[in-house]
Amino acid sequence: MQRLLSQNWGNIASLAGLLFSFLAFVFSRRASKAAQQAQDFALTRSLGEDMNNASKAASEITAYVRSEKAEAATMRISELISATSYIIARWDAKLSESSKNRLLKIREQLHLVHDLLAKAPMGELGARDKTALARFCREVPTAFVEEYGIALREVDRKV
Amino acid sequence: MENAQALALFEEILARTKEGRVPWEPLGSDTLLAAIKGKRSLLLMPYTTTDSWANGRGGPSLTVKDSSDRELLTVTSEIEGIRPEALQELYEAARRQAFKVDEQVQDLLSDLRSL
Repeated sequence: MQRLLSQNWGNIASLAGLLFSFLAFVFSRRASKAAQQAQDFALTRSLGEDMNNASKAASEITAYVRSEKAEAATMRISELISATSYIIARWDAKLSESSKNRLLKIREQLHLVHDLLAKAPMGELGARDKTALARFCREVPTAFVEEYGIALREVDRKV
Repeated sequence: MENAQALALFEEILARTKEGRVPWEPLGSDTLLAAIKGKRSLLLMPYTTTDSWANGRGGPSLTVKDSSDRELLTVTSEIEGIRPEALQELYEAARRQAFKVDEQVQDLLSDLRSL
């Protein structure tokens, strides 16, 4: 046995080296995959936070519109328009096509309501404009809440 | 060149709208909106400009915006080759689709027949 080892120590060392290299490769792949999953999880959670913040802002705007505080609503709408553009740009790769379409529509609704509030005092708006405001109050916060839910669902799937 | 692109775009949107493939939706009382593949939005208004009282003036206009909220181009009948009637035709076809006019008329007809 000793003789066999002394005669083939080079081959045995090579074989052991090969085995260690293979194990190192397997473990590094596992670690890389785990790191990738952790990064995906963090990104999705952050998308959820952005959606949650947007959803809160939309609810605030609705409250301002309902209590006829046009100036406060207009300011918050401008912020939410920017936030929506940010979400679309920042999370382009994470958002589905339908979510992006929905955000594009929300942003146009925000522009519309911004322009309506700038047009005349809320009490003087016509019936059609008031209908548009009511539709905004009904649809936009709900849409952000649903997008927040979709983002959370992705987080749950990754846990 | 810019006009040629605008004309080509308009013709494609008109053709696709007639086929019912552009997802037009109402936005407010008279503006129509379609989000395309999560990248751009189309805004179709029954007027070209608004006066200081926010009253619409001129024929329909079509605005293309990108995902960053920038207006890429506006199609009006001032562009050579785009007739005001063609823009009106687009607006009417999109409006019928957005408000589901055909389905509603069919529904109303069957309701009336059952009276």
